Amino acid sequence: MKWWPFYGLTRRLTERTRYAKDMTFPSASRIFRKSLHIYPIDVGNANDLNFDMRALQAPQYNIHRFGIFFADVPRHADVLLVLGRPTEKMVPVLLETVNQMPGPYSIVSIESERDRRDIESPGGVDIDNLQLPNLVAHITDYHEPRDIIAVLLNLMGKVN
Amino acid sequence: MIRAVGIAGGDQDKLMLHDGKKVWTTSEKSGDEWITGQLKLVADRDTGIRGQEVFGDGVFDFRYGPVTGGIIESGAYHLFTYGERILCVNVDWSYKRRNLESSAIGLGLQDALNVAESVCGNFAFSHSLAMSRAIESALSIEISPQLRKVRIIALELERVYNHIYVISQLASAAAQKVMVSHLQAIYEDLLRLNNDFFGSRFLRGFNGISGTTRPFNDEALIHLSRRLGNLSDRFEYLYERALESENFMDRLHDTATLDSDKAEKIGVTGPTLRATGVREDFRLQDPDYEGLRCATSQMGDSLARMEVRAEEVFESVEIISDMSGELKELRDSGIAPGAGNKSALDGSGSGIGYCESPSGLLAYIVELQRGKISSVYAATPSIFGFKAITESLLGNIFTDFPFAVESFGAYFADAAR
Repeated sequence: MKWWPFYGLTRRLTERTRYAKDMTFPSASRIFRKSLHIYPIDVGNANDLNFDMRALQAPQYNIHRFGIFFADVPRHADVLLVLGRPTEKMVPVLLETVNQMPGPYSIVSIESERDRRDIESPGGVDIDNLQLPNLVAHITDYHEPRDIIAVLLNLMGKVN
Repeated sequence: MIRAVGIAGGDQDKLMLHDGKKVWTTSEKSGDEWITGQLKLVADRDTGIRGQEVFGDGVFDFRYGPVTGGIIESGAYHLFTYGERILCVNVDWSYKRRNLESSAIGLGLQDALNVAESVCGNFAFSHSLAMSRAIESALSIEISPQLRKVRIIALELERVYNHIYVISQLASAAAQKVMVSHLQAIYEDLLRLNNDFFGSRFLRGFNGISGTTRPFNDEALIHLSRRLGNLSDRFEYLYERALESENFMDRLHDTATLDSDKAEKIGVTGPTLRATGVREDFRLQDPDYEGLRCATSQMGDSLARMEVRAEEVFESVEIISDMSGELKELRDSGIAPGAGNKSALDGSGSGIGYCESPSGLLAYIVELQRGKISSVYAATPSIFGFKAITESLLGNIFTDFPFAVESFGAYFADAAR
């Protein structure tokens, strides 16, 4: 068996790839250029988006190299990732979480294609009807964590 | 003989499920029937689990969720404590309630499978499989050996990535940073592998009634086994190192202990029950799993649950390799998979379908009218998992909380439906 640090050094897990995606929204603020703290909130998704949040922290993506970090509370975050289509009971919780965000901040909503077809959260609330402030991106065809990285890099004004 | 999965537990001859104030039983002696019962957990089924609330000097309700950095899912734990020791735990999953069972009523069969997959994304294939088995049972549809084996491969892949997720969460709670990074890399590779071979990171949209929605290339299975074997070797190396870490083991040992009597009384199944020494696994009833090594452990604590999950990862990888070989033999011997009887899909009837999901037994009861769903009921393992969490956490201290909760593999989405 190798000593831990050597085991780590012998494995190159970070992938070199482009996360570009056609997007037109501008960076919310120039202060996000070097670092961006994100806070994900589950509003009623089927749990696969939550599992993909864990995958987003995998070394393959190595999001820290872009200056992207997970925050532990909304009050320390620059971007709120809204995962799924809100259930009725999560709407006031979501609004209060938005209320706790320090300015300047942005909101990114992520829904799967099934959310749009009303399968995943039938009776859920359409996020566009909530009129959330600073909702800069609404991903409705989410497939994998790369989609999120592409949005965040666009938000930071970076093209990798 | 199928053992009780319901909360009534204890009756070795019956499979029990519950719905409202009724309990569904099925046995060889009496057949299938609904009986009326008054069970506390039944009443709480759709809102959460409530223990005996504790009051006294300095005791307060520490609410954890639905928005917290510790638990990403939108559910809430109410921990009654005086500051250190946990005296009572209540679980509230109503934030995640989506009424998926009722939304399936009136749908066609494939759409209903999509709804079943949406109950819990990380158990998507288990839900889809249990429901498809229920529908196939209702319509008396025989499925081909090829399809049975392909389904087993997908089910075991789901088990592998879920178990590795749980172990990485436990390592993360113990701040085993290096191990967590490597486990996350394996986890992400597994999800990509799912995507490459089944068209979805979470194995969605692949399973169908008496078939698959996409053609399956059994030639590709050779590559699947090879890639999976490589990931398994990487995991084995990490797991061996993890067992040497006294810091990590100390956090798991004797944490959230559940004995076999309590576990059976609650009705919990899966790795949680097997970690108490009970050799029970629905796959043992399945002839396609002949020779299954059912992993068990004795202590019933978080460490035992992790050990069972790790052993199951290795076993699942072997099962996938065996199934790939058997599929290849079937193809080489010229046995055609068979298209399934499509005309039967417009029929009526009722059926029950089971599957051993990564966290325990999952069951669906469906009733069909002319090829549409007229009634559906899902008994999910997380309901019993949360009950086990509330029982096992009593007397533990606050810092044990993540080690307890993560080790059970119970999810709000799965319980709330």
